[in-house]
Amino acid sequence: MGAGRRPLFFFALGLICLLLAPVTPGEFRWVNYSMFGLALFWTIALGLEEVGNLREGEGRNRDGG
Amino acid sequence: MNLALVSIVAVALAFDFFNGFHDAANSIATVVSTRVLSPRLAVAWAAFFNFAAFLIFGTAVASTIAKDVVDQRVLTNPVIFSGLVGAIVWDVITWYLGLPTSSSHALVGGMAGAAVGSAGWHALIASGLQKIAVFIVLSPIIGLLLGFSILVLVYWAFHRSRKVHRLNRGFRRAQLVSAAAFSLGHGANDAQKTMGVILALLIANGVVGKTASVPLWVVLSAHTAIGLGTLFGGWRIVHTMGSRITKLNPVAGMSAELAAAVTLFFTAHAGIPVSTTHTITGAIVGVGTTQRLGAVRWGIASRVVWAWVLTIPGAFVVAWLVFQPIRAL
Repeated sequence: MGAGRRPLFFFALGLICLLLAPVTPGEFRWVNYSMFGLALFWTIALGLEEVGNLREGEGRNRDGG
Repeated sequence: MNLALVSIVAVALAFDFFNGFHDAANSIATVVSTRVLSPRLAVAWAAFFNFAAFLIFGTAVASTIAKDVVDQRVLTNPVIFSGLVGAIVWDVITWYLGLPTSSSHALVGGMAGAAVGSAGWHALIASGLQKIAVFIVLSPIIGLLLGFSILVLVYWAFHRSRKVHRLNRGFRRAQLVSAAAFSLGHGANDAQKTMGVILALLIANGVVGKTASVPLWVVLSAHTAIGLGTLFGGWRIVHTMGSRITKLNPVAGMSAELAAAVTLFFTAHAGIPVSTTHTITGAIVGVGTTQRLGAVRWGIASRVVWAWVLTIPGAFVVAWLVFQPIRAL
């Protein structure tokens, strides 16, 4: 798996936490939601990093070409 | 106390010793793989903090094991004995194969198998098992997300520093603290499972009341047994956990242990029996993911996952089989 798949990986982890919420005892459901929030945060952050890296690469290609 | 009760308490403490032997080695995997401590010193360090955990944490996990997994009316000496034997046999098999499975889930599976063998499926308490089942999945994910987050935060905080050598020295020292924290969490979580079994035994034999808390001698003996087990630890599993899942440096090791420790502190406080193996594996995968997903050796990680999946059914079946001839007696 390459670096580009990390946002998807974290999104999948968050989704698992969210899907488990209905079967988690009520007193611990905040754990599911906070882990989902954390996973979503890293999904977005890593996604933005990916986009930035892609643009940087394109810019370098243009300058080089 | 009668002879049968004393013998089963001895078997429970033997299980705790094996738990230390089999599981507690995870406490030292990262600290050994980053060469912060020699294996001998790391084992002594972990064993000490396994024992010291009784000073800090309560007995909520013990209470869950004693009262929330199997109907207390079904918990008789033969059932508890068979459950323990099922868990120990499963632990020995997986230790021999070098698989880092969970002694905790082996115990839950064993107790459940013996109880079902004795009184059928209605002997199980669905709500307690549901809580344990959910956190089988959640605990490694929490460890992973926290491990990743802590390491990224540390990288972010120190990325401008040019004194790399000094930083590394600092992180090596910090890893001593994180390893101690993880061992505390491990001692709190795993020793309490044995306390739970002994508490159930004492209740079943009328030695203490149904609402009694764990007697101090049970707390001390369980922590002593797991500490001694760690001292005699299992190096095959250390090797798998520390160096084969992903390569670690001191800062990554510290982050993984800290993430796992935070998870275990929470579960010990909340009375949720989780696997320390699952949690530290998740955290190690989390810190490995900061490089790239390819840095994690998914083949070994998936072998570990298979071992997890098989643990509860495996221990269940062994305990059920052990209970059959005992019932016939």
